[in-house]
Amino acid sequence: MKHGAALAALAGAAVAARPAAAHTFLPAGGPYDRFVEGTTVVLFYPATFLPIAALGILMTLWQPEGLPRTWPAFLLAQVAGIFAAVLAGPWILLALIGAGVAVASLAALLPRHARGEVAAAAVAIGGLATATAFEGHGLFELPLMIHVGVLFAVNVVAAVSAGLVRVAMERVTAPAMRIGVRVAASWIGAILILMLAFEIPGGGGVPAP
Amino acid sequence: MIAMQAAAHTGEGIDTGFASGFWHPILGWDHVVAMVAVGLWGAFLGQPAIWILPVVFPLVMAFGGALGVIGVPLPAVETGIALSGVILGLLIAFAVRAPIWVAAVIVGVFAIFHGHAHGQELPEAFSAYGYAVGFVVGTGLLHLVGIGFGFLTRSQAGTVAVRGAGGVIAAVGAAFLFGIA
Repeated sequence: MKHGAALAALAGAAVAARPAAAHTFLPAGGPYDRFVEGTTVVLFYPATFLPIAALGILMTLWQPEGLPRTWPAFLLAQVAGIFAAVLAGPWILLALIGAGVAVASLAALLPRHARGEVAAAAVAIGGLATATAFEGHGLFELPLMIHVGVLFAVNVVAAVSAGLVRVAMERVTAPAMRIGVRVAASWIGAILILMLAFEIPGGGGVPAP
Repeated sequence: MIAMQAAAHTGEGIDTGFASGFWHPILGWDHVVAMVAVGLWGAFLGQPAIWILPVVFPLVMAFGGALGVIGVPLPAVETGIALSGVILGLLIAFAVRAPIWVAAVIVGVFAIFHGHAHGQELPEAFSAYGYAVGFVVGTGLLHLVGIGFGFLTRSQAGTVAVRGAGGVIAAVGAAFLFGIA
């Protein structure tokens, strides 16, 4: 019962991915419930975690140590996104998905990557991800643990994505593995292009879950 | 020439967005032959086409899908889909080794037609996001199947088999183009 609110949030979010509108956070719950709820805002909305996953792929395609080298900028951008969220409207989701398409396309299409390119991608995705998660909410409007949960989830998705790519490319050093990773980035970009079409006003066909 | 509406894409008993999207290209022979042909032709052309095509194709196809979702009209979609089988099949059958940019343009044009059809046929009953994931994954797997068969070109007998498969693909495409299938 103590964690009932958190479990209910998980179950509800896990039923079906739906367009991420401004998230209506639960009115009550303990710190752990809040933390879990924060993580679900990222983990159970493909439109939020796919751009982050694409960023993780790009970081590791740039360098095996790409994530730790860009993490400071990535974290700072996430914090900036929290501050800027109060200014965000429904358009913020389109901006995040669009940035995700750009990052996934860069990862897929370019054979090599530059530091500036990866840093810019990290700043864009980091800031937009948290701004989307907190769309319309002021800085002190929500409990701290929700912020902790969102930040945790954003960084976990990036770390898992980057880590999986690094492990795969270190285990299989053949050029085909790098191509396979770029194909995966292409698939993520393709899915995000379609999601963008679903979210554009008039891009009908998004049914209720 | 009237290409018949490609039917039986979603199949019976499919009850989720992902499954509907996944089976959409696989249960439509007009899509299957073209997607496999892209992989076959890429393997046949060798480096760098063998990896450029499966990297670029999903993005271009999704762009076509997006056009279909938002309702941008594309004339003669079914004819374009049927033609893709014919032309790609003939390119394989006659072992045409086009420059990479020519191959990319040909494949890209057909990718938009295929994507547009998937986007327009989005079923309203299911999760749109699941459908998007499903048909990207389904199409990608068909490419990989084509590339896998394409490696047969490393042997002379395999090359003959692949070129024969190209002929079959062209015939299937023609059947759709002339309304036989």
